[in-house]
This record gives sequence, structure tokens and C-alpha cells, in this order.
Amino acid sequence: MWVYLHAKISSTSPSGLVGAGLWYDGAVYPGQTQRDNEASNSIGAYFNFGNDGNTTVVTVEAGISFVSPDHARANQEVQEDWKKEILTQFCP
Amino acid sequence: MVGAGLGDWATFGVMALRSAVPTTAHITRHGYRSEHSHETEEQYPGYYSTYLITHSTLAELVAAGTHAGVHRYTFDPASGPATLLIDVAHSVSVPFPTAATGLTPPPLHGKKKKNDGDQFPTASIKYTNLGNVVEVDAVVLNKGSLTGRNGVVSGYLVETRL
Repeated sequence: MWVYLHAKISSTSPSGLVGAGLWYDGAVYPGQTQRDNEASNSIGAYFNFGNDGNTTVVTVEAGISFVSPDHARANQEVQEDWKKEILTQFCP
Repeated sequence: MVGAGLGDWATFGVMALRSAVPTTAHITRHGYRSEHSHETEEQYPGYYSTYLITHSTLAELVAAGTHAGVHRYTFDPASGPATLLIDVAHSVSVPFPTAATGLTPPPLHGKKKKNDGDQFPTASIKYTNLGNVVEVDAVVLNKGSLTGRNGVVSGYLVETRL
């Protein structure tokens, strides 16, 4: 079974994203944006935001699916109202 | 912050770091992990938070639906760069030959990808920088030390707090 992820990452930093890249096979690749069919057990991405406010808040909105990337994206997008409600309740 | 808590289920890991670029130690054997205290935890139905001591970051998790969630990380500016790390293959063990599974890899973005020799591809990732927002797409084979034997999900872990 395959699992798909779609995530939207945003930050309160005035400078926004200041660095990003991938990592796999035990090495880091700044600036690289895509890696297909990685066969090792080491793969991921990193995103560095400007830490130039009083505090920098990074929010990750994510949806997963066992069907397709589009379905994962739909899962992420459809939850907007519920997310706002619970964030307001617990994260003022 | 890997929700299932079990090293299986092909979970996607998300973690805060105080390093502008991950180090080899961070990306080796889950070296990005953090110390935390149960005394700083808060939990309600659909909400969990804890303070990541190693990375000086407040982590908050919200269940926004059956297959969706929201993480929020608050970085203290005095503690270094604010970096988010996504671990696509958090729970994948080792690749296995395609011939043994009869499976074929799925397309990540609508086109078929080439296999890497006789090793079954386990994960792919792509991100797009949209200015203040980054969008990430990833796919991973649901295969760990337990579920990997059959390639299927065979049960659920449920924790209930009253």
C-alpha cells in the first residue's frame, strides 16, 4: 500500500523561506527540489525560515491519502473550517 | 513529531530544528529527535502540544479530519534558525525486489518513474516554493517491520484518554 502526502507550510517570518533542500542517503542537498524513487530508507526535505520576528510560527497543514496525490491535497484543503475552529479554541 | 508513535505504518515525520541546514547527525537514525517532558504536555480531543527541549520549540498538533492534520511550531528567535524537517521514509526499513512483490511503483506527479535497478523504490518527494508558502508532495510505500510483510494495514492502534 502506498501513502500520499500533501502539505502546505507557511510561516509568520517577514523574510519567509530563506533556505530549503532535500536529504537522502545520509547527505544533504541544499536547493534540490525533487527526488524520485529513492530506494534507501533515508529521504526527506527541510525548510529554513527567517527567524526575524518576536517569535516565528511555522504552520504545516497536511493531508494524507491511500489513493492519489490529488486526494491527499483534497484532504488537506477540505478541513479549513474545522481547523480554524480548533485552532481558535486551543491556540489563541 | 510522528503521530502513530510506532515505527511502522509508513508515517511521515515532521520535526523542528535549530539549524539552518540539517547535519549528518540529524538525518542519520532519526538523529533529529528531541528530549521533552510530560510535564509540558497538553492534550485535548484533537489537540496535543509539548515543548521540544532539544530544539527550543513549542510543537502543537491538531487533528483536522480523518486524514488531515495541522502542526504548528513556535520558534524562539533567541535559539537559532527556524527549520522544519520532513522525513518521508520515517518508518521504511529496507527496500525489497520488485519481483518478490509483484507491485509497481505509483506515479508521484502523473508520470511513471523508472525503477532503480532491482530495488523497489520506497519514497519520492517534491516541493514547490510559492513565496511565503511551500507545498510538498510525497509518496511512500506503507512498509515497516510489521506491515511490510504483507504490504497492507492489518490493524489500528487507538489511545483513549478520559
